[in-house]
Amino acid sequence: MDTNQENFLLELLVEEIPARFQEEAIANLKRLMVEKLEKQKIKSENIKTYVSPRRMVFLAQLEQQVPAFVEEKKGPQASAPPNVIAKFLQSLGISPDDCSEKVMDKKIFLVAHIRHPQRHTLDLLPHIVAASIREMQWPKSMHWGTHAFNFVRPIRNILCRFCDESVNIELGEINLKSTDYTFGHRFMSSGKIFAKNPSEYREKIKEAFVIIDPIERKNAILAKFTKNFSKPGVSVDVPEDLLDEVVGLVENPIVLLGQIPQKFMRLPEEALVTPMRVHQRYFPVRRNGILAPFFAFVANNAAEDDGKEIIKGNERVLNARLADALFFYETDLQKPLELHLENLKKIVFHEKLGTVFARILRICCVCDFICEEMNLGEDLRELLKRVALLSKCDLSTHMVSEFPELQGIMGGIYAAAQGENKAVCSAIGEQYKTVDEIASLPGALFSIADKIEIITGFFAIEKGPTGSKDPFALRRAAIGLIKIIKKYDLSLQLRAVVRKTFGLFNFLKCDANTVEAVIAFILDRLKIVLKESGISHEVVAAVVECDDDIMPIFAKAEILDQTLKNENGKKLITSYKRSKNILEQFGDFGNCSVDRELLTEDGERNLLDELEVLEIALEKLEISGLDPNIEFQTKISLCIALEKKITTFFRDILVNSNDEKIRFNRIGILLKLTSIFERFLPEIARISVESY
Amino acid sequence: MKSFQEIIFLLSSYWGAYGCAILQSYDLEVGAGTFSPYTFLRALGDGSWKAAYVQPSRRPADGRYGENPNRIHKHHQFQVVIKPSPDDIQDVYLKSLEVLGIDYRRHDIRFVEDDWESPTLGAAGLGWEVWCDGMEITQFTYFQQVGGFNCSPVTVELTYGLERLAMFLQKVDNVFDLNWNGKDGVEKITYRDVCLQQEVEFSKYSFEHADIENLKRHFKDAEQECLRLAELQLPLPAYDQCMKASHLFNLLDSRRALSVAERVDRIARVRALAKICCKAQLDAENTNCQG
Repeated sequence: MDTNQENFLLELLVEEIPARFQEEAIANLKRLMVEKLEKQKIKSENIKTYVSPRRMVFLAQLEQQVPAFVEEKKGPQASAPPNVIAKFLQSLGISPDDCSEKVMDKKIFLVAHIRHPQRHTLDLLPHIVAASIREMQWPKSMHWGTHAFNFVRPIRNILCRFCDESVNIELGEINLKSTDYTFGHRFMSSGKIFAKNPSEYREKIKEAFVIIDPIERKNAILAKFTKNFSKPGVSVDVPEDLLDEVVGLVENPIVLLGQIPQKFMRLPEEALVTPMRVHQRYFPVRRNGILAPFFAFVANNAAEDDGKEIIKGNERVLNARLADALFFYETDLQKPLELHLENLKKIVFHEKLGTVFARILRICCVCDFICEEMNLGEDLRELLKRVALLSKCDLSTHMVSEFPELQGIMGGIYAAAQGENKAVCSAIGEQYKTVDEIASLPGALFSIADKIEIITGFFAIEKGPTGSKDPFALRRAAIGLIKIIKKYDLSLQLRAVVRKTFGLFNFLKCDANTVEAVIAFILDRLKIVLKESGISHEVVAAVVECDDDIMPIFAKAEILDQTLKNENGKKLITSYKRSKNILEQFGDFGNCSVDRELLTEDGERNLLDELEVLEIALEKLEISGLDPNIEFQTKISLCIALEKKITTFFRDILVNSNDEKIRFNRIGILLKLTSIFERFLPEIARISVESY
Repeated sequence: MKSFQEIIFLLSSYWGAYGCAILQSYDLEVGAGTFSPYTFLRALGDGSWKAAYVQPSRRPADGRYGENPNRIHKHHQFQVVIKPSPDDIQDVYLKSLEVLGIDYRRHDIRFVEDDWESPTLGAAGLGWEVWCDGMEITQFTYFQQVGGFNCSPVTVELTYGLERLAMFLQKVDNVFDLNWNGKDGVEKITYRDVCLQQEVEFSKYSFEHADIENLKRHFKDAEQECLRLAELQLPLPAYDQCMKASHLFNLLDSRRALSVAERVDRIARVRALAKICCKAQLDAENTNCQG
């Protein structure tokens, strides 16, 4: 790109814009500017935008003149009353001579030819810029001073230049006029920075210690990380979101390295990393994968003493937080987890649902129900009970009170410290994690029990989600539940477990329809999960209607979706639908049994033979004890094999025979066909055929 | 080295010279300088206002029996409120740090997004926490709403955490080691000398001994009194009762006497009081204008 061609410069200097809004904000400004330039027919090229905590920058190459052009504007019909026509002309400030007539849709309309003279871009820019600033949208914005004007934070300066000239912008609402200068880095530069044009701006803002380009700031940080931590085995944790935030907090990134006193290194990794990342925006350093007693951080200021004081200050802040954490950790370790149960008896989970302790007891029961339904062994059952009992104990530990984001994780760590079974510890540690992070079967089962309890409980007191309101995050719980069941391929009779779980809430006077409401709610989420995985709407609706067990639904949805993607599958659906349509035409015909004696044609004889064979085959299949997925797949294959016979029947046989006996006999064959589908493959029967 | 009291002197004289009325702390228990009527009620209405004051702020749940080097139940805030917010307020604020001896060539000052919301006051604002070398030393807030009423003109509020600032300036790691009076040897008075006893005793009070039934009764009394006084068009006395209710709520909270639902309910009740006081204050201002 040749930046020398740039001739337009706009910089908004704003009090520190929250990091999370910056990227969206500059995209928004760019869109508005481009839209308005285009509307004015100003040609633009080489548009470049940049954003930092304090400024939004828009640079471009704009044409200096907008050539004269004629705009055509459709008016009223030529036959319209004179006052209507006069009004139209008046609104555009033109005379009848500037109009011509044009036939559109067989009617004659007036078309105005509005002559736009050549204009200077410089004259158009003030309005374009001011309107763009005024129209900017923010997720959160504010007022300041006495002004009735909304922006993310107060705007303090507008620098705007075009072809080495000032663009005079005035935002009267905030008493602000554009200037020919800006300010550099808040601390490393002083006084006004004058810039006549983009290239001077680029040069001078750099000299004033501001890197306007976020990508450049990001790369500078990464390059410094690579350079500082180049020893083999040494690495820095650089989560993308943290890096982006830090990039949005500085104009002049300076990477510094602080030390952590060795005594804190006995804290569990999460307890070290959380205050570093979340509270201080530091980057943990590792040696051979293990946390090293260092942290990297990004300052905004190249200090005279190479950052010695800055480092000391930051170390002191982190030390204070870690000292707290260590104190809490060691205090917590002295108290066995079970002893926290006493506290949990006092902590109310929800007014109507009782204490956290009451909830734990219910989750224990739900674990039991799941084990019963799935025929799981005694060992696993006992293990899950232990998990449930200890699961919420960390809620009353010091550490979790201080760092709520460590709930579950600390529970797992404390359980390990008191010598619990490894599987118990990891299940406790995984309970709040997402499906991808759940790595053990006990963890998955416990998480399911936890979620079924919470969903059923809130439904029992009629606090299920409504509209956009879901204060207890039950939708997320349901989706989590579904995904865990899928990941671990668990055959769980959901309705049975929910029904038993519902029984645990019989201390409440609650609606007996709760069980069905919970199932319907979970199945609704299941539909979403299925659609997200690319299964068509019709298949989703059909399978969810015919089943309420999660794994079979998943399997059937996939099989059916595949089936319908190939020609034979589509034909099968069409045949079923065609039979149904014919039957409908004949209306109510009572019981039409088929009499072999009345068969006259090969086509009907063959089909009937095949249907009888098929029915027996399908019946056998249902009692064969095959894997349900294979069973479903086989049923579909068997039906597809019949396809030719059905097509032949439709081609050769006239159902609507003049002979009533023969007619009813043929209807009987079709009835047999459709009833086989309805009985053995209700999903196919329910699929709406329109889309295939 | 700047003593604890010198920091207060410097800030007072700086903001005094800027034109703020230097006020004394409000004489009721409050959770933050914002609760003081000097900030809260003054943020309402269209008049201008400039004031600065030290506000000892009580947060019963933050007490740690004087055993934690960073946690105390009562800390001191230096509160600056200016309405309407001046255009150069960030620069004016940064100069106050320079006055305290913070050299920008050697330190890293950052404005990190921190939107402020007080559910008990029905108040909200946008702004930042100001970091100095990673330590939060000031809350910088443009008020947008108070008691449910939109603020216009907008008040800017600067809240310096005096203990944090002093720990930073004196480079100490334990709040109780802060030098209060700037003297050495036997003449030295530390934060420990001044505050330790109250930290120990008030922690015992707010975690163990505060009588829950009494607190609940006092809360109810304050609530009723507040409503009665607001009805009589006495916003200031009414608001005193609202502050009391808020503090009593904090004590009930630190005694862990409230279920989640009760907690939510009481927060809503205090917010309702704050709202009624704001309404009464606005009515009073309008009457004054007309009279």
